[in-house]
Amino acid sequence: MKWGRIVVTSLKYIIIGVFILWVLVPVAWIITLAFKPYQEWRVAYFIPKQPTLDNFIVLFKPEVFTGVMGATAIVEPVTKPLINSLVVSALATVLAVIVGFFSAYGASRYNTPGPFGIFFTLLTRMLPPATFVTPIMVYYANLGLLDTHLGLIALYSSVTVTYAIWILKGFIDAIPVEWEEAAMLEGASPTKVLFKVVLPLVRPGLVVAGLFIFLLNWTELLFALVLTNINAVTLPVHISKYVGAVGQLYGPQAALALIGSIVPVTIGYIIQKHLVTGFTFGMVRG
Amino acid sequence: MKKVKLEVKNITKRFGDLLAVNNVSFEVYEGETFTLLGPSGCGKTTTLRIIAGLEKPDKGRVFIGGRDVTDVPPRERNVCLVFQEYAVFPHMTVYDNIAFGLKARKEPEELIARRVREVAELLGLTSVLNTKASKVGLSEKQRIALGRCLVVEPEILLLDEPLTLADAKIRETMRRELRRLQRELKITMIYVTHDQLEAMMLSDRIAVMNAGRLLQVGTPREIYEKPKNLFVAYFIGSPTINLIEGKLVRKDGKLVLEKEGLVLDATKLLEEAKGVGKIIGREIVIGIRPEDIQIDPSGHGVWKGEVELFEVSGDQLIVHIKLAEETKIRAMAPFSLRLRTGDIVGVAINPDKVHVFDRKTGERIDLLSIGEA
Repeated sequence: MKWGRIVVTSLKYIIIGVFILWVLVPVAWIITLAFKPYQEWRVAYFIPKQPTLDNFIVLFKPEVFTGVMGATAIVEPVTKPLINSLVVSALATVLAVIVGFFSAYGASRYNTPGPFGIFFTLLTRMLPPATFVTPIMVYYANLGLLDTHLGLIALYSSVTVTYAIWILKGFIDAIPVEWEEAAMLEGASPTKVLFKVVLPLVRPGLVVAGLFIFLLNWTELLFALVLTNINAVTLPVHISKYVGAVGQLYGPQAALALIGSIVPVTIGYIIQKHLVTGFTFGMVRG
Repeated sequence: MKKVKLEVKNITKRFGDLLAVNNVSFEVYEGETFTLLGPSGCGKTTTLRIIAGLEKPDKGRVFIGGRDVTDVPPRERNVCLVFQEYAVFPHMTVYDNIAFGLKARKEPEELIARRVREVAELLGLTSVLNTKASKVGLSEKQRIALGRCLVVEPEILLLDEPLTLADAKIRETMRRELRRLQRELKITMIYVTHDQLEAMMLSDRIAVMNAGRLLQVGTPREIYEKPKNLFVAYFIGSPTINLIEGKLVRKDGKLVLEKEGLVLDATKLLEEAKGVGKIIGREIVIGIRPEDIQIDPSGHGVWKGEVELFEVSGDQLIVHIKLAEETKIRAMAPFSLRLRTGDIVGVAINPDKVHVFDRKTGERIDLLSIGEA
């Protein structure tokens, strides 16, 4: 009996331990790699013997280290892709959440565009994105949208609006219709009902949807890789450039990955309170 | 002459196959409390929502103060509805909740502040005005919901089972409060409930509904004393009315009620009643309220029976008496009456309190009016 419990407990911890390693080792590897000098990139230990910030500096001033890290060509400074990513992700997220809110309200309260319509919005998510890349590229080439911010924002927001609709519809469904009816009877116009009653109540939903969509946009690689070249290059595309034709710049790549993860981690930390109320909305209602 | 505030004319509403409201018409006078009473699903809430403008009737018209409002949107009807699950906005303070309607109408700030304070005082909410509405208790929520309606001074105040969520104690206080407020403010109030006791206590007039139809409109007394049909008789009153059915025939000089071979002597009960001759030979249902039956332990009365069991209900006893095989009645008796199961007791009934209904149609047969005619 006693032995049985010990076995069960230790098994439990072994499973948890394996899972933690599985999740954390790659993260730890990236963190330590970012601080390792060129000579230690391919070694099998974690803690760098001669920690350095060179990997970070080379991201912003690539010309300083030409040749030193075995690079055969210069990678553009990271500033532009970083700004591009921030602008594109943020604007596409805002657009998706706004459009998603109104669509979700219509779907929840007026059942538009019908039960199949709302399901249909998921259809584009059921095929691999690679399927859409070629046709979109042809469209964009003809519309002059290749390698533009506008092109990426339009594409990202139209792809992610699906998630906004589905997340927000759940939140709006949870608001009793009577609340809106009461407001209506007391003299509020439909617009007022929407902005004074519904909008404040789905605020946690807007945060959840916004965060989720922002992360999707922030990490999107495939579309950006195909549709951008110089002008509108995003961070994930830029990260991928460090290993390939220019050489094997593992250190700078890890450093940039680290920088790239600061934004979502910070956002997640700031709004975790909202996140909790968001995910448990049905329980805290009223 | 009483002024008609609301007129509902022949409204019918269907939800798919369900006929929720079936050709219902009634009038509500200014300043009265009018109750729509019926079991759940009888169409009372739908009727209320049609009056509010939240549902459109398939047929029929609604007039408020003489104006046809059938096609007028809810916010222009100047009626207000207190919902069963109080529509109180959790993201606003109590003050903002009450002020909502006035703000929506863009009233000046001073007027809003003054009106909200007045209403809060009236409802005893002054101390919680600055509290978030999600933080207050159920009884406050209920008063907030009421306050939100009172503040906009609607022509008609509609209430949809506002007391069902509250517990018994609060319900009692709120009932009294509502009656007081209605009297004080002289509001025209339409109240929906399935609780007949609540309806009797609150209303000036009651409309009893069942299966989408309006069965009877009248004062609580009229509905209790002269139920127009079996359903109303059965629905009003607690404990429920005793119903004995059978064919009334004269046999060997006696009046008896026959049903499937069972015979109950009703000579003493009905002999004296005027017009009884008109119902001899008809299938009828006799209704006698338990509170109209006196138990005589010495055995005198219309009938004799055996005490089967008794329940305690407040300071009263509900006594189940077996008159014959398959025929049992319930009677109210004072708590002080000493009874044991198995006792043979007499049952005294005032013939004036006997209700007679046609068994097939369920309609009331008024013995007196038949007699006079």
